[in-house]
Amino acid sequence: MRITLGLDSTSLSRRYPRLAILATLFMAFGLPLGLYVAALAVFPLNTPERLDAMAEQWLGYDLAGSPYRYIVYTAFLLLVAFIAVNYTAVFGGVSTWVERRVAGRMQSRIGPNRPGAAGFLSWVADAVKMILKEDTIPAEADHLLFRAAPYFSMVGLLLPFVVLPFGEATVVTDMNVGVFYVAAASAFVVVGILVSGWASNSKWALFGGIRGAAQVMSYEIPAGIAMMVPVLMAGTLSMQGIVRAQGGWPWQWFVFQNPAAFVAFFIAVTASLAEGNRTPFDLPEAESELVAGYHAEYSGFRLAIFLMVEWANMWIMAGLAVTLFLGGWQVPGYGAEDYARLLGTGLLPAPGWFGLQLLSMLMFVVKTWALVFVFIWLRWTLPRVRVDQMMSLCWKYLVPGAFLCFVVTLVWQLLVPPAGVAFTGYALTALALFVLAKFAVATRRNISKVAGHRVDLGNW
Amino acid sequence: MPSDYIAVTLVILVGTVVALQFWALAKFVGERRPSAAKDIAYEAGSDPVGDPRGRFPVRFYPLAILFVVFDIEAAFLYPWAVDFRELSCAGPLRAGICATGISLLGFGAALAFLVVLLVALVYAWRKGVIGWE
Repeated sequence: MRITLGLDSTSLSRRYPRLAILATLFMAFGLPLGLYVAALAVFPLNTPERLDAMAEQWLGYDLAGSPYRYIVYTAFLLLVAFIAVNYTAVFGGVSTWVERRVAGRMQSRIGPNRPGAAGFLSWVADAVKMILKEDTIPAEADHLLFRAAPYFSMVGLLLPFVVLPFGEATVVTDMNVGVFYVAAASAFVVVGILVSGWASNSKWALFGGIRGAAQVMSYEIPAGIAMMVPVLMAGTLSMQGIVRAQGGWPWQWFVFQNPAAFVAFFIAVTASLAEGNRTPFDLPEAESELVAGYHAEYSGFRLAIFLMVEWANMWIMAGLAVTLFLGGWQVPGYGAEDYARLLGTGLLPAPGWFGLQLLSMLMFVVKTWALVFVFIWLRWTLPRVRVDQMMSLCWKYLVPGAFLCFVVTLVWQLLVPPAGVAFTGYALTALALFVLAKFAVATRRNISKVAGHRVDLGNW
Repeated sequence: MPSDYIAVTLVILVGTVVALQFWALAKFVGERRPSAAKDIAYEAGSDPVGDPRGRFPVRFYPLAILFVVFDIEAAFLYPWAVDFRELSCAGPLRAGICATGISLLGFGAALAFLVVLLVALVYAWRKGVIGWE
């Protein structure tokens, strides 16, 4: 059976040139915007108490005393989970396109530009291609484990999404053990890597799987200790509680409020890069050494799941760093009392409340995309580290460094008065801005050395 | 709250269903032409030599033990980290600031715990568990 899809420029879009642009606009803006609006409409009601109040007010039905209370709540959460899973898949796809375009720019080439405007639909085409490909399982492989491995990875990716706050009210569920839960749940991905490496019964896959297990396990230690620094500062494990303990302006972010947190932020980001197997830590799938590492034997949709998990993990990594250190969804100039005032006392909030919620989601999304861009930038700048370098970086530098940050934060939290914290906030923000300005000037100078005084952005 | 874990279960469920839907789609539209050569595990183009599940270096084993030690340590530190201000202050907190001095029981005990682990790290380092090559 052959199926041809008109996603390339030779067929459908040549006949209907506007179709490609319309499809691109829909996929690029309509889909994510639809998901955000759906999330905003549904997520604020995701506690049994709010549902009770809604049923009471609109339907005159006493849901709280009804035996169907948890069935209604579960059906409601199913919708929430569906939106979250869709968001993951769409982000995983879009970020591959962004990565390839950015890589193209960085290497002075064009990058994907055929399906859709600016090649945007290439991720859809890739997904379709992956599903159409033959799904082979090596004869010598452990069939059950080989089939099960992608699901472990998928679950490990989706679990942290449950507590990742997208906005003031937009979180699937705000657990009181949030950070601890993320540390536990993200370890599921390594089960997928190890199981796929073992089950493939191929040398490359096994080496990749074992390397991956060693790497992800090692880097979980500095990541876990560095993530304790914001917990110490906020005094809670809940993700929303940690964001609420910060403010909208940069000097109110945890990263700038304490010199140890500033260091812990870099330790946490480095460790999460390694946990997500991103270059320079992509040793489990180092293509020049291990063919493709743990997914060398995978093809078709199973490979697609592994790749989607890998790219969508960037959102978790960046979103976690933004939530814990960079102020999360906090909008500058708006505090907790503004949200409470706009929410009012009635059942349905005022339109201004929805506006503020959208603004808070925008803050989170913009910060997270900026950090995702940094991850992509690092990937196309740094070469891969060696295995022994990876191990000594973790255990000889990051683990003692994270311990040091932890102890300094303890002393800092107990002894430094609020005025000192505020002063540190301003000072470190100024320092960061100074470094960024220096960097921008140096980059501008480097560009003008090769390309004259013109930065060519025409490629986009 | 127990209701939090309904969401966790549902996300696992929906994620698995989405992955299974890819599987069903691939089964329905994907091509399948199995052949003996295709079913051999990849090894450099030639037939695989030996059993891939042979021995592998022992240095992964002490590393796994080290991971267990430090991960459990982190798991113990998390609950302490949440309440450390109340635990480590000798008197009651005033506006989040400890003015009465640091209590040795709450603060010192955690520090002693950390020091024991650092000794373990130094021991592993000297034994060559973490410095490969």
